[in-house]
Amino acid sequence: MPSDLIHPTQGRIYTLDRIVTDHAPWVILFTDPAVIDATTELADLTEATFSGYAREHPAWPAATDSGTGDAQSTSAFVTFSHNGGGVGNSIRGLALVEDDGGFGTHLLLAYLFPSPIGMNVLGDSISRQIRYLQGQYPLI
Amino acid sequence: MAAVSTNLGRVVIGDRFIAAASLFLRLFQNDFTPDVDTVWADLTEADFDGYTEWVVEWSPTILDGDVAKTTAGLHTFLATGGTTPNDIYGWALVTGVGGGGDVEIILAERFAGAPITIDAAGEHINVTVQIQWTNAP
Repeated sequence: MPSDLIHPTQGRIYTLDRIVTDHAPWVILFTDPAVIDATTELADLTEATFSGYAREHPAWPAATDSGTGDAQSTSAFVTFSHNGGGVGNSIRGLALVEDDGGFGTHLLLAYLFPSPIGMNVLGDSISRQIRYLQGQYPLI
Repeated sequence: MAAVSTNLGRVVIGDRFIAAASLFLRLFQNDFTPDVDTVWADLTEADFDGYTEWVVEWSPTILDGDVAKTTAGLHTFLATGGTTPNDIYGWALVTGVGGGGDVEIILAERFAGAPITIDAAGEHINVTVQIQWTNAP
């Protein structure tokens, strides 16, 4: 039978604050692999190296009700720009890495872009906000 | 494609969650079915003889297949007498006192077959809390 266990909205907000707001994750770009799944680890990723690339550490605001009962926290915009130097990359995706007082060792989330994005010349850039949701999903 | 929450990342999340602050397990005695809008003021805490909230003791988060599990050991709420009987309808996992002098509910559950009557010494209710961290469907 379905569980009657409830994760109220205020509990979702509390939980998301402990996860994201208290420990703002880092944002990185990666060039490989082309496939990611739940077993993917940080060591499996090849981080971008294009000229001008640097890891980003955006601020994450306190979680709020998304309007549908889920908790949400949306990062500040992160923008990665090529500076015109000689190194280019084809970027496959973006990932969140734990903050453990510095750049951590655990991969939290990974996202593959619909198709690779070239970061090869001055003017190439990738700008994203990351929206983190904490919801209640069906229990079995 | 959707973002993938990684297994080891969810273990980190679970451990961060339990390290952040003490959480408390409470029983409630009003005939109530929690929903997503439930707040502590909706619930009436148990007060049977011997009842006290429990400061939850967590085990480190473990990975079971693709599910990260954060589990508290089984806790027994044991009655020491029958002077103040209660009909118990469920439990709630709550934060400490919040800014408004209230607590926030992290999880709540109405017992299947509620209520459970506690009206004599030795009667008890066992609760085990487990939080599972998974990828959203």
